[in-house]
Amino acid sequence: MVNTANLQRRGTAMQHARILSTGSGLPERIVRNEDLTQFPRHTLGLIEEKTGVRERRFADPSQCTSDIAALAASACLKRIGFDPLRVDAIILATSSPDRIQPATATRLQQLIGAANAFCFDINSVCSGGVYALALAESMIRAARCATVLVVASEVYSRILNPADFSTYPYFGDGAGAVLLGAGDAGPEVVGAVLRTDGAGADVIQIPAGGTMLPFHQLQQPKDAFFRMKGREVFDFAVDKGSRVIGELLASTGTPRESIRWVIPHQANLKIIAELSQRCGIPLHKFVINLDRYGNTAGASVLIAFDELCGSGEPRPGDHVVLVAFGGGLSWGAALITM
Amino acid sequence: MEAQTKQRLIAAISSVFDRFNPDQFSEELMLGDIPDWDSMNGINLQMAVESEFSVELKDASLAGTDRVADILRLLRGQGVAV
Repeated sequence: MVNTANLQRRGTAMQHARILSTGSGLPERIVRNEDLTQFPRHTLGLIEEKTGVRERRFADPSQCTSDIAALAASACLKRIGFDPLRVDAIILATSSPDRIQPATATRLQQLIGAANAFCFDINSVCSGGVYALALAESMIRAARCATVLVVASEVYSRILNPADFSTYPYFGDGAGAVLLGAGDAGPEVVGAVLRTDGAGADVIQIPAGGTMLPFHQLQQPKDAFFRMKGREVFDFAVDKGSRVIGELLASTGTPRESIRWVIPHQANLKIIAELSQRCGIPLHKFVINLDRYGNTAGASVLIAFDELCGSGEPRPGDHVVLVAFGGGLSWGAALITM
Repeated sequence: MEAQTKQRLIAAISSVFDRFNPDQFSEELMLGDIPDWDSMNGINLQMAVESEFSVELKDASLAGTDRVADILRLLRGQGVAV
């Protein structure tokens, strides 16, 4: 719920959105490339060559998206001993929800005991983590909330066709979380740029299960699974990803040379390398963990950000760019000053 | 190419590539010209052909520069009458 008394006390003054904590939740089960025995043996070596993925995590059959989200959210709150009852809002980014309705965020709220938070989902597919972070930043900045818990959680192992070599080896399950709060000190979400091009709505999709093709009208089983047009996705990702970083730096007045870290959506290694080339930021500044987790869709940037924060490497004042691109087509970037 | 072989290959290609138009089919068709072709889907096509003809193409790897004729050659190599 929105605490109107608090809102009145806070008035409408613009507030800075600070990062109070981060967390991530990764299923314990590790699936290595050589475990994907449904594919011809000679093709297994191609997976790492073409995607950079060596292994990924898959959720236990008893776990769904909200359970993985709860792992990340709990880790995030526990890290700073933050009482879940003090969370004003929960935004859950997911493109693999528990069910069509209600919002997966509602079960997450119950799992972590954040009874005072209003909760909702957003679905911007692989851009979800950046979209949710930008939305939370605007809610804090506008003084609508004092604290917003952003969680991006995906269980793609349930929506992929196990026989589809063009998708199944890429992805993994996982969740990342960021707790944002109003304040005058600490890492800050400085700005964000979000973009969408609905003309590409068919490039990445799950055709069935919604009102366009209800399950009871399903003609071919493969329509129930995730699919993407690989070449179009590559061209889109490297073009829009590099452009939106430029837009973000221009809009925030940030010199390109001052970027210390770039956290890209962990789509595949070739996209990240090409992105580095096109935006003129050296690859060694890019945080990469897809070799261990695969592409965790909307969760990937928040998981990588949590890992970066946990590494102790970022120094106060470091500029970190988060950039993501995915179904929609949607893309976006956010600037964080540590 | 036998008519039945042609139909089975069209079925295999169509099972992988939704936008494949059977009118496109010929022995000279370059696989990279199939709409939505990419190398990962090339593996899917190989598996679809293997399933359709109940063979293993073992270390074969279909590339965008290969043609339908190359698939026929691989099948013949596995003793399939095409």
